[in-house]
Amino acid sequence: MIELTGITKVYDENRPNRVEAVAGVDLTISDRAMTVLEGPSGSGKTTLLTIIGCLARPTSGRVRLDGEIVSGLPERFLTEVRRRTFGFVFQRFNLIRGMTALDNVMLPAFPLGIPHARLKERAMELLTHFGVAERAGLTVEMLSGGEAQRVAIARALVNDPEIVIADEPTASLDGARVEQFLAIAADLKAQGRTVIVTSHDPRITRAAIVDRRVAMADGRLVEASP
Amino acid sequence: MNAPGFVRPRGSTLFAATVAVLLVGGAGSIGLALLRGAADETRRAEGRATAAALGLTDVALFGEARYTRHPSQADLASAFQDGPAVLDHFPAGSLVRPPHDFGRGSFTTEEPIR
Amino acid sequence: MSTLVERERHLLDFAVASLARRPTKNLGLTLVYALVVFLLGSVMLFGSAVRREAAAILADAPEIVAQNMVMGRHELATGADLDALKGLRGVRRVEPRLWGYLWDSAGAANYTLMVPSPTDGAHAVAAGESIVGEAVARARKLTVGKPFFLVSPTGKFLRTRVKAVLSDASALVSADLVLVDEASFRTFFGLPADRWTDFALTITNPREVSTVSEKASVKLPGYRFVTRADIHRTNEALFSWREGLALALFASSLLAFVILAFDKASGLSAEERREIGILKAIGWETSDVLRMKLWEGVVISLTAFLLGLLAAWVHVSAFSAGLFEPVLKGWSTLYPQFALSPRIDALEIATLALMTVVPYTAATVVPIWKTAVTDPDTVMR
Repeated sequence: MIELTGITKVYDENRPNRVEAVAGVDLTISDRAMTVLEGPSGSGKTTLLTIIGCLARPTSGRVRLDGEIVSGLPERFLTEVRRRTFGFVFQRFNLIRGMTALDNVMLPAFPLGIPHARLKERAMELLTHFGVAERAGLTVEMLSGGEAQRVAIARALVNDPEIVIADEPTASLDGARVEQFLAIAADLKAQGRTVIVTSHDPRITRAAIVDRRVAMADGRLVEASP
Repeated sequence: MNAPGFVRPRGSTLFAATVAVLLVGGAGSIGLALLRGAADETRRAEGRATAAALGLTDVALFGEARYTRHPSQADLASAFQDGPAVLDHFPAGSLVRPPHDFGRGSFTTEEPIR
Repeated sequence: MSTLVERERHLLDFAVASLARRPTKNLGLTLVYALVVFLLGSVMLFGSAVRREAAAILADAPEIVAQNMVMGRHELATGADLDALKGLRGVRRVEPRLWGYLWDSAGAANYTLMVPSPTDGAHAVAAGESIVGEAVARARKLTVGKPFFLVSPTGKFLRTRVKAVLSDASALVSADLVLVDEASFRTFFGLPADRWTDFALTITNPREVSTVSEKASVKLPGYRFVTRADIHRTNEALFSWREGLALALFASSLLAFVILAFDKASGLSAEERREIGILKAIGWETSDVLRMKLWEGVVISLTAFLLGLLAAWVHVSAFSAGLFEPVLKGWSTLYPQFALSPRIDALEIATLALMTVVPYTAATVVPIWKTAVTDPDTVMR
């Protein structure tokens, strides 16, 4: 369970372009459910997502993970938490160009010292599961949008995280791919993982598998539907 | 672009292989040098004998001094010899002092220690 | 332990893949770097090798050379002085030497004309014969049996036939020699009968050299006595500072290279910054990122170092450092061709490694420190 208390995030504090991306958010996210943060662009949902996923620190407020405060942890421990607990799927996938799909999937586990053969096996398992196994040896530039997304999801899962976070997952995809993504999300839920997604796409926000919708505007929560 | 079925070697393996090849090359060169060692020693012994037989005292390389072949010689045979009072072209003389007991026994005004 | 090894191997995998994504740039960098190592390494290996050769070949040279001095300049020695030295205790042998320089316009070089000792059977020459050093033979295209003419500054001719060419083994000391008989020598240079260039003294007990020098200087106060140790020291110093000078010059090219590397590394492109952000976002710690960058530096510098060193070794042992001949062997038109056998001096190699690998690796890691430490989201924005 993720608890956010009094989260604010301010960028460029003492500068003329000071912006308060998130202003005083209190939120609890339940396990094994799919939560969607919805809102227009600039509403702060992506920023909130990065704070939830321990990619960024809040300017003030606390983030608790299963009761433990993580927002104040030193960088090393925070990275450890991030690696163990979260799998992040970025809006633009953020795969490393010039590297193969397989290498990209294995990447998060490189610093863990897992034997190479075992890691490769696990990565291939994931790629097979998402139906992109035969693209494993291609560099990411040669993948289609849908394939790239599936590789990005496979990468997010390589360390077997409890929580999967996806930022605007359908921003660059067509209709069929949206269905595919929802199927994957359902699959992840079935595996017992928590899924958190930001989106302003009604196909996602109105989907049946969504357990909870959280609306945001101007850095604040607008309403929380149970 | 990878051909199907082609297993690309790991980067670390490639690097290790490169280093290994270079080290083997180095070891080979050293090995060759060691093998040549005996021949080198013979050559040196021959050279030493010739030098001793002819009573030669220094090498046939330019010593950056106004003498060419022997510390006592100067003038016509020196490099860059523009005139008798011209300073050495090379700054070595002003950077390095002669050793304390250089040319011991040469003519001095002090009484030699008996 | 194996976890550690596997982790570093994976980081190394990424580093190599990362370098391979810009193959021309990184290969070029490695080659230039190897070139710098080659230059420094050649100079270092040559310097130590030639010092060793010089010391080895002159190990049995006469211990003392006595020279007559008049008004502070070298003057020819007389027979009377020879007798004075012969009587000194501790002196095994006094050999009067006849030798001098001759500028030969045909070969455009200075030769050392010399008369071999009467006791030296191996190099005996009769009138009309000469034995030449290998560099002289090369300069005048001489082989055994060919005629060889020399002209003195006063216009005297010396006609000889080449009896032998001195071997390459002694080239370092004999390359510029022309050995002729005494009578021809004296006629050629116009030297009266009782004059000699200097005297070579062989001492019974080598530890008594300084004592004998002192005693001799009392006997012949007008003479200067140059010991073998003096000459050895001069050779050591000569090649040491020549090596040092060349190193200093090449070290500045190394410095320029390191500055270039630093400059390239600090101007992190947006792409590289983004990559580091991604790595951190997917769970790499700062230390992982830095270690990966360190591996990148090591891959290039270690490869370049080994390559450059190997090339330097081959350059010195097979080609006698031919590229730098003038710088290292000095001003001349007549270079003796002598074989060099470089030796591995652990300290030298370590110094070279320290001078090249460390600055480059530091130059590539330090600039990315700031980027590696920041929170991933700021880096990716």
